[in-house]
Amino acid sequence: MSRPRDLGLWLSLGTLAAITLACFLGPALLPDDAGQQALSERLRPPFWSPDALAGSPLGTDAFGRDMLSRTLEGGRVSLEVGFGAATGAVLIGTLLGVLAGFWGGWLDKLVMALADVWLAFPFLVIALATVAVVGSDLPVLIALLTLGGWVLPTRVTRTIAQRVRSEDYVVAAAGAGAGDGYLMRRHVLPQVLPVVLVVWSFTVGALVVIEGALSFLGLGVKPPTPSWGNIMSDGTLYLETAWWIAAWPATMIVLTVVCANGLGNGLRRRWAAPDVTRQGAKEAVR
Amino acid sequence: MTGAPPAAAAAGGAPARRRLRLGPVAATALRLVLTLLGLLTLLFFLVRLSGDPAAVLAGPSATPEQLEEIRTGLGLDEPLLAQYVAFLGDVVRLDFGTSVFSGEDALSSVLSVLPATLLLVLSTVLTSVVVGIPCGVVLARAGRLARGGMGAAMTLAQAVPSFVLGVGLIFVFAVQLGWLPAFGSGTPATLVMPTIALAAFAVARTARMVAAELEQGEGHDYLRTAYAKGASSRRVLWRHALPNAMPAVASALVVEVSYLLSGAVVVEVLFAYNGIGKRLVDAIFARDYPVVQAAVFVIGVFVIVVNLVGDALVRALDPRTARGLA
Repeated sequence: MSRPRDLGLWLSLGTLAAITLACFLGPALLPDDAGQQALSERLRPPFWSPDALAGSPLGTDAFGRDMLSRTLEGGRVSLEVGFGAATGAVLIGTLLGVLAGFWGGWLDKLVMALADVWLAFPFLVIALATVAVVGSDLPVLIALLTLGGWVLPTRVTRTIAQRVRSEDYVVAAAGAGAGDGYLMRRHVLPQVLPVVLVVWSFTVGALVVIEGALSFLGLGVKPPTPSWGNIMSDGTLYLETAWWIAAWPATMIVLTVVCANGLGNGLRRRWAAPDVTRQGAKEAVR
Repeated sequence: MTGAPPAAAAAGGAPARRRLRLGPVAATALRLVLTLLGLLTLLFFLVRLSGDPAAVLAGPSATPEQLEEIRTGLGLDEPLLAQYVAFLGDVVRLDFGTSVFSGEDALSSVLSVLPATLLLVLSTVLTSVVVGIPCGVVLARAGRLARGGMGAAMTLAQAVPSFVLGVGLIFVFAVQLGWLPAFGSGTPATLVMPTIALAAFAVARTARMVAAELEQGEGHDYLRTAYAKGASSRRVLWRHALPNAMPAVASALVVEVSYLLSGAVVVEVLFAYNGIGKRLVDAIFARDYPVVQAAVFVIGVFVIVVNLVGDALVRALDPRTARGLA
């Protein structure tokens, strides 16, 4: 409503858009050999140091690869997984939530029981066990993280669908002969959409973290392909001599998550949507 | 308030949902045991379907005879369903086989590191309560500036993943200042950084929860009555407002434990802290499936126990839930 709140929203949206653009378009603008190994230029510090390498403003890593290019390239992978999985999770969650909330009955019971059970178990352990066996190609990671994020959108949309189903105008429309499909499209979806966008932003933040954790453990994106998580895990080996290797991806992860959460909060306030993060936590209790 | 009909009491807490006529504890237990069973089933089929476990065990230089021997030894030549039934039987008898590498009993190798993880989780929960509640009070009651600062700090704490915070802590306190050991386990000093890395998120969650509960409770009659009787605002806060916020905070913490365990896996690996998470990841890298299965099982049982005990504690803490919902 008020100015400073919207400021946070626009700032988050802008930063997130900037990060995304930089990661997806940036590598194309950099010189072709930027990501190549150059063993003579190992562990060069960032631009403020006199030892800095011209053309590598963020320094180089243990193989002499340019950190700017690595960070952007890694961001592309991390964001692909984060955006992709969050979108998948929200689509599945909305479908399940709307159907469960609208129809109720055994479907509702089943979906909610599944959600409870799913939340009760540490997701990272499930993810690790799966990755250990199936491997961690990009599609596998995206599918896995989709499963990691489906509960929140399901719960939130279900609550709304339930409420809308019992509104007088919906009951009236149903009485006038409107089919379930029509009611869901015409009355439930428009009310669900803003909230779904809010949930999507929060989910992006959460999933970027999980992808980071998996890759950091060496069980996510596999090393020649960079991702913020695995660059950080390389960097931890060089904390004493070349802290910047871990610092850049760390900054990017934190910035992305802050902005994704900020975007979610901003949208929520703007549209006066219910506090989905608390709702998820509270409903999980019983 | 206390004399309100059950419906009103329920509306104040969680939405009352119709469920089977099981005791709430029994229902939770049943649900969680089914979860565990589902998880183990998933694990079983993933391992069996993803290739030939015998080939993994025997290594690349194995002869066909050796492979055959391992297969018969593990019962891998039986039909999948028979293997599954045998596997479930083993789980019931708590027999997960022996570690492929150390030859140690898989379950006891996991149980031997469980206390370290318990300690880490316990110190994290304690930290999140001891630090989170005052932070929450500041968030809800302090002046504009302090509130804004605390809000920003909590936002950051919620956004920094545990492994990023952990790396930062190692850089500052181990590499630069040399105050704390960067890794290891067994001494109190090795517990400090893993706890901080793990607790930051939980502290922020607890603080927000406390703040939200305090704000929600602000208009309640019992607070007005307390003020009217001349209680200082400090006394109202600590004696009346906070105790009423506690059940919600406690039940949020119970839910949090499963997130904490996820975080603990990463933090333990980062700090080479010898707990169950590190054992799990080591076993995954070594393709030591018996240990992987045992670790997943133990983590599952741990979650079940925490949920049951936590639910019971919340009930004890909040007589309203006991009377209204049970």
